[in-house]
Amino acid sequence: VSEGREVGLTVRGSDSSLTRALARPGVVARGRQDAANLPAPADPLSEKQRLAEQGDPRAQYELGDYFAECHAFDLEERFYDDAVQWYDKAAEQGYADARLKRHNMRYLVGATVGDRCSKSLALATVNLGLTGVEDLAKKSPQWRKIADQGLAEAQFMLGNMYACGAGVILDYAEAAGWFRRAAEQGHAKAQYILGHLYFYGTCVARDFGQAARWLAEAHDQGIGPVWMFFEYMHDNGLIGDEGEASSQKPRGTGK
Amino acid sequence: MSGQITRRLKPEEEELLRKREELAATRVTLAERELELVDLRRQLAAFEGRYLRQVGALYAELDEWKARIAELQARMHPSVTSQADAEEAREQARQTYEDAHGKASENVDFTPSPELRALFREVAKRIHPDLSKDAADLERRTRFMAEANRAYEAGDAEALQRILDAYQDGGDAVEGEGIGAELIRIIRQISLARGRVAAIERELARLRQSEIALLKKQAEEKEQEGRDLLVELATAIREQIERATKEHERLAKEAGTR
Repeated sequence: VSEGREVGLTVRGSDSSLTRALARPGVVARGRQDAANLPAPADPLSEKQRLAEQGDPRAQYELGDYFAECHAFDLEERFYDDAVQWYDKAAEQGYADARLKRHNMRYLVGATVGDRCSKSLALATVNLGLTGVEDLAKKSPQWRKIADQGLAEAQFMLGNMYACGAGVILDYAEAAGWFRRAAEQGHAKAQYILGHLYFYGTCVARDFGQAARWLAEAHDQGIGPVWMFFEYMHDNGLIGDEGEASSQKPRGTGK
Repeated sequence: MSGQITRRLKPEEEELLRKREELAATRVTLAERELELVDLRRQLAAFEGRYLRQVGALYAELDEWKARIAELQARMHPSVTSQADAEEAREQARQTYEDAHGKASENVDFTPSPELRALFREVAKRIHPDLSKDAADLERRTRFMAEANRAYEAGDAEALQRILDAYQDGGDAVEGEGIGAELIRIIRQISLARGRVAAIERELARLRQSEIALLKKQAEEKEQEGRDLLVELATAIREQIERATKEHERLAKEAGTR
């Protein structure tokens, strides 16, 4: 093992060349110095942001998803704007999924005035990538009839219509009621939305145990993301390690 | 007659038994330390080889460009200072090249098998020079131990086995030796072995503080974070090389148009 270098004792004439030679670090010492000054690693998010800013449509779309998730979780205005901005950019470049998500985000516009209730509901539907609620609304009488007969999908759609005021008079309590009926029948997307409602205390009394239960059930059926809710509830000791109603701790479905 | 006649041991016999056990224990410790030392040396050498190939070679390339730039500048603006700068840059480039492409850069990775390590431990325990009984024995043990080190570093288990077989340990007992003489011999052996253990500890401490060991530690810390220090260093130097080539190109053009 070489021990750095014997620093230059070959004096070439002047004093300054001796000083310089002494200051000349070995190739290993140099690596040590440079290693200490390496730039901090780009975190995956800022890396994605960099790509998105360079115009990569996939990165733009994923960034849209990321901010939509942030928004879905803490309902902050700025995240909504960011999500829309990136979806728009990706959609402009012909990214079809981004256009779809951007379309869904429209349901939020009316809900961005600070109404937590409408927002969490509308957000949940956006997260699920629901489309065409307006078209369905035209058939609202039929939907109500089938929903009354107990078809979970119809109950779920009716819940969405009430949540968005599409074809019916906007009514959150009514929406929540339909979501619950569908959820209890095992409708995964309805369970997911119901989880949101309990988490935020929207239209129902806030209940983290219930939130964990419905989110976990939705997650078991492949609906998500739910990790940020569980992370929040675990970190704040709002649910036990058992997740109270759920034995699983769904994690890692996020970014 | 039945039953074993047990004789009560004399105090010096008891002491001898204790010392023999102590010597055996010291031999185990010594073999362990000896193994640790050769492992550390070899690991550091392997890391150095990797570092020099992955990073050192790039430093050499960078310094070459820097030297060319300094030489161009000295030609364009001749002065004592610019001349000295060019000479210094050229000297640095030469040394970096020597460092980066020297013998150490050929060191390859080292992963001894458990069997090889066990074998080396056995050899070290049996034939360590510090356990020698007399001058001739010492000379023989030293030779075998050096060979064992080489065989281990080369990962040559067969050679280690041959050394072990070739070294016929005559046993500790010396013919015609009385209890007193044996006690003294064993006490000396223990003392020698302990001295060697202490020397190895010092050597280990020195190696762990060497530049290459500290760099290796930095690399391991980065690895914990899921990063690769050598790759990151190489990337950073490549960027510098790119800048230096552009600078050189620019200067060369400027020099050509003058």
